[in-house]
Amino acid sequence: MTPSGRHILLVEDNLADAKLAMKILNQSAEIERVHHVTDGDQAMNFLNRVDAFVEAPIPDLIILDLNLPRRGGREILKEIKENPRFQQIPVVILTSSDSESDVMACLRLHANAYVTKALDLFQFVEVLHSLEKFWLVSAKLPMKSSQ
Amino acid sequence: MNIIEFELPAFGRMAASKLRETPQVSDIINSLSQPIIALDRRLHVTAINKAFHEAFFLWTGVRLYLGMNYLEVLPKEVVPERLTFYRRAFSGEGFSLEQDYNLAGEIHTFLVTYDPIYSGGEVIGIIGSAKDITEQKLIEKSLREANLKFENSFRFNSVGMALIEPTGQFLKANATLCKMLGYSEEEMKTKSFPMITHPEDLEKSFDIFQRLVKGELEWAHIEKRYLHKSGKVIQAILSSSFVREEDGTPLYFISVVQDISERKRAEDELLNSERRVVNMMKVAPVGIYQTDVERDCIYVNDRWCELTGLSSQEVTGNSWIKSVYQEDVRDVEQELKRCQESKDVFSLEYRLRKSTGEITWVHGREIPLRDEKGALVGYMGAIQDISKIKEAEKVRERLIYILDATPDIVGIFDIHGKSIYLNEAAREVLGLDADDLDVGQTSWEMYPTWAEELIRNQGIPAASRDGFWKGETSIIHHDGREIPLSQIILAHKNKDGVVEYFSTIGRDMSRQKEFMAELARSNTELEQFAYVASHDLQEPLRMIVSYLQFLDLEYREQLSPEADEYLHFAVNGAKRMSRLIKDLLTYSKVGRSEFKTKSVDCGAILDVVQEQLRTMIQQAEGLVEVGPLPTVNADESQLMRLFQNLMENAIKYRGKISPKVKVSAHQQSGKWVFCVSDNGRGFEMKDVNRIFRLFQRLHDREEYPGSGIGLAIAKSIVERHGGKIWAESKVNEGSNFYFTLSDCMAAEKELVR
Repeated sequence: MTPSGRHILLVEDNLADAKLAMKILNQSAEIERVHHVTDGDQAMNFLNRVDAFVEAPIPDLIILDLNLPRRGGREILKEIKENPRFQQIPVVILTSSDSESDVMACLRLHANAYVTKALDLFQFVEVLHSLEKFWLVSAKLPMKSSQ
Repeated sequence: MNIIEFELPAFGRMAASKLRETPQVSDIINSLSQPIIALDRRLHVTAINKAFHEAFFLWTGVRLYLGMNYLEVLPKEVVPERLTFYRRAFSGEGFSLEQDYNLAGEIHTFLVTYDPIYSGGEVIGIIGSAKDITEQKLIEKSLREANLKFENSFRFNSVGMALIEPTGQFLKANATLCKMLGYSEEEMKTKSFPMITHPEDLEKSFDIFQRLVKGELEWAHIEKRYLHKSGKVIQAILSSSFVREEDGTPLYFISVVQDISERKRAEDELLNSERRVVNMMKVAPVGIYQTDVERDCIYVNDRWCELTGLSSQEVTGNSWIKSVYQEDVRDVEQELKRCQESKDVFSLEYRLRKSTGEITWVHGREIPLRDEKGALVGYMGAIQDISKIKEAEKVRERLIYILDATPDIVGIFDIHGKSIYLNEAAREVLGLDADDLDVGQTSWEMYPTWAEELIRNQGIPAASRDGFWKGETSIIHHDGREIPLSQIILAHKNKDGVVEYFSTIGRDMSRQKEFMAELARSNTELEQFAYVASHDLQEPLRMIVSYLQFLDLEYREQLSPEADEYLHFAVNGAKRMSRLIKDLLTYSKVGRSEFKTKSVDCGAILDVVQEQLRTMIQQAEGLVEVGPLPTVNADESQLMRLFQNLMENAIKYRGKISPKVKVSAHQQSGKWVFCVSDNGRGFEMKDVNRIFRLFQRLHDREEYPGSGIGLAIAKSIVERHGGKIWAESKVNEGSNFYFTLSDCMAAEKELVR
């Protein structure tokens, strides 16, 4: 399996969290690059390849924090899932909220997974690795081949 | 009267002289008091006596002499009539007739007789004689009148009268008697007195009859009964007398019969009514007294004695005022005086005091008694025991006092919605004075339209049906404000179940509404805080933990083992803080979350709880025994959490042997008491209160991990359900955790089923 370069879009305003996630994800051989943006507008620009993101690749996985400044994570999720161009990109919600209403709202908006940020670093690592395995290795392969 | 024959020789023309010549005859004739005259065929007077002479002179004023032509001296007006008489007599017929003569202004009636005088078989003259029958006539007339009077008095008398033969047979009965006994006069004549006498009075009647006949009695008066034709009994008084001829020959009884049936009835009636009055006096629930003019008692009834505690003897001749309670005597006397002056009827409530000290409230009334001329003869009065009414009044006053003191609005209304009573609070809201109380205005004016409709359409019908209604309404304050009310309407029914009036209690909910709004605000704030606690507080903790762990991961070799340990403590501390925050959040949610009660089967709940704790129970090799549990009214998720916490504790704080947990329930004074018992390590009873406090722990954290929130949450849940939770324990023997659920009415039925 060649490191053909999986691209992950991480939408996370908390730099510490973002750095943690990137540190963990970057350890993976599957991933070519984790692109980090800090708000919804940037995320949409990235997907639409406008402004600074003209060269941006289509991400293989979007990791979306719910708690974003200005336009919240849910709004971005809705926009992505309603856009035929992006709706096939798996979106994993990564958030510190474990409230049931948040979970339900996201699943209703067709989020592909909902993951709570674990307090323990090692648990977090484990979660991210399993995400990566499922969405980039198992689940992505047929999709990749169809493209 | 027959003809007087004068056998006189040569009577006729020579008669007069001959009469004179024969003095014996003329003397005889003259001595007769009857006037006599003789006339010859030429109607010349041939003989006349002194009496005729005088009478004729008195009649006509003419003196008659022998030989005079009688027709010439007769008054002209009688001549035609007299001629017919004379002709009759000359024809040979003698006759008499009554004729009236005016003799010098006095009317005399004479019986005049005309007779022919024969001589040699030939009528040679007539003789007229007259007898003054004036007096006889008068006697006859008065006799006739007397007879008529008797007859009338007999016939038309208002009392019954009868003539009865000595045999007892009725001779005559007057109309009154006939009517009294129902027979016609003819029928009466066929009766004898025993036939119409009441059998029981026969003996008495016979006795009287005998004694009258024997002359032992002149008159008899007896009361006896007759039998009417119809069989009806007639009460009568009989007065009877036996009439005899002067020589003693028995004639008949005269009986006077007076019907006294009516009088008898009236007498009986009077007797009955007197008896009635006596009985009334005995049975009357009021005390009755009668006094003389001086107000000294002359009569009191039994009830009066009962009420006053005085005997009839004690009070007779004394004023009844001595029975009045000392403090009220002045009032009574003043009122008596006032009534006497104003002619009002005395009517007063006052107290009586018995010698035993017992006080009785009475209502007394008294009226003056007057004779038929209107003169005062005394007083009559009545007293009625009103102690119970007075007592009820007192109770009522106390209740009104309480009702007026309560800040709730209380009102009583008739079925048309008119106010009968409004308490102080209601009057204040409506801006009414105490005096305006019985204005009787309809209560609807005090409600806004929506509340009026609610009460009319739901409140009144529901209260009428169930006796009770509770709802949220509002009332308009007299300043125009609308005051929200929590209102109760009660329907008061009579024994037939018909609503007689309504009462209502309204609580001003303005403050409560404000509190509710305040509470809602604070709940929202708390929710925000909870969110902040769960997310914003967790984030920095996660940073601390994660980067400390990174530090450890990436720089372990550059750090001393001691620093490594520091990192470990730091990470654990941060993790524990995170746990505490989460538990605190859970605890706050119990009191805050939506509380929805419904019928919950505790058995089913326990099944779920056991399933959730299966791993834990298996690992501890525990045994759970669940007895029959009721269905209760509770919040399902909270009840589940309650059992879960208790069972978790029972397993967690186990002793050296494998844990046994038993869940049971029993009823005690209308409540369900649940028990979760274990055979665990238990605790000392001095610590029993600590275990339910937040974050209180009895054990080493290393040995039994946890934040100490389980029982605090359990307590909060039980209390939210209106119950109580407590525990009993012995160290190393086990613990029993009990809790009650107050709402378990439905539960009893469920368990039975």
